[in-house]
Amino acid sequence: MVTIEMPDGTVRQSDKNRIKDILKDIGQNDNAVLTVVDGCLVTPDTGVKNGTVVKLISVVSGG
Amino acid sequence: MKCIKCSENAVISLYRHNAGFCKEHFTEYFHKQINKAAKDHKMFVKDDKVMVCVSGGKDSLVLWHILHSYGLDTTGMYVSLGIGEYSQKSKEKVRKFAEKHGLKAIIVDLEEKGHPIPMLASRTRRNACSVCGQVKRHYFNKVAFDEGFTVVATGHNLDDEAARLFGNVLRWDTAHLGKMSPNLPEDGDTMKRKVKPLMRLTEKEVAAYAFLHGIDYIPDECPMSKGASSLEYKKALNELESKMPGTKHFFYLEYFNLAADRFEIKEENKDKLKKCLKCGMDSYLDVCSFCRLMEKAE
Ligand code: SF4
Ligand SMILES: [Zn+2]
Ligand SMILES: [Zn+2]
Repeated sequence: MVTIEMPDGTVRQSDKNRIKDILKDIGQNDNAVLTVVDGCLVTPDTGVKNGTVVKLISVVSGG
Repeated sequence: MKCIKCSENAVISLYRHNAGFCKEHFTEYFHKQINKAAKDHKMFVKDDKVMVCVSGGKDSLVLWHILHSYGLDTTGMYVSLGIGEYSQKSKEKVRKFAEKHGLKAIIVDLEEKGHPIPMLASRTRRNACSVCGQVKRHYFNKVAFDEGFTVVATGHNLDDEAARLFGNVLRWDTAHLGKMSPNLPEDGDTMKRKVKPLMRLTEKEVAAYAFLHGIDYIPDECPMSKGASSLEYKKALNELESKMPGTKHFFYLEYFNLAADRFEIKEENKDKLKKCLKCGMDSYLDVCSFCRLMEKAE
């Protein structure tokens, strides 16, 4: 399982192992977030191991 | 994914350019886009005195950071809206940024002036965002004029502008379609030139730049933005973008090549402009819309 820290502070889980599939799994559009693993930005094709924490940062500004 | 320029690990993939970039080459790409925007739309001239409108968010702080790094004479201009914790936090970000880079930030505090946005909205029974837009516009124009700035720069990015264009097209709002230019010329005697140097960069790219270069911004959104139609337009455009990379880019940037000239605003009533009796800014009536709003709220 991979843990995903959502921009709103909630936490989700996914059994997928590629960022692109994880985002799809949780219904998150890739254009609307940065994905951070171990403090580094990663691209959607990046593979992650079980137990990894993926942090999502919202990039959408409102108003 | 590898960087297309050096084969380091990519930190961002740009599907619309079919490319991944490492930090160094993404930074190079980012600056190229700003330079292209500035050149294509003749945004700056030598010895410009630039007022950068800052909110404490990523876009405006990244913009300020970059314009300053280009050696331009920049001053930040921040309007504290009086929207609780959000305003406190964002003001702090602006202050810290200015301090860190030895720059000057002009801060207009609506709470101190006695008319925070929530109060203005409830007293005039208007939507907070429309009041806010009007108030910010007034102070940006007024400060730019009073302080002798030659140009006003804002951090609007490709997503902001594509969403605005999309909304204007859906409503066939021809008046606003005529004001989409990323370089709006001076208007009357008191409105300065307004430019949008981040127009070619998506918000994801701007956020990535802020992340990679340690620019400390407020990630929270203004609580009043919930339910804003601009967010719906952005969401819809991002859905399209995922299926058809390059859509946002084409839609917005090609507007200027293919359609903008059809919506140009005819300058007919310019001679009817007078000076507002209260604040001295250009107005078609004796008292400008901002000063009338203030009277109404009293
Ligand atoms: S969301 Fe509305 S109230 Fe908040 S800063 Fe934007 S325009 Fe102003
Ligand atoms: Zn590289
Ligand atoms: Zn006035």
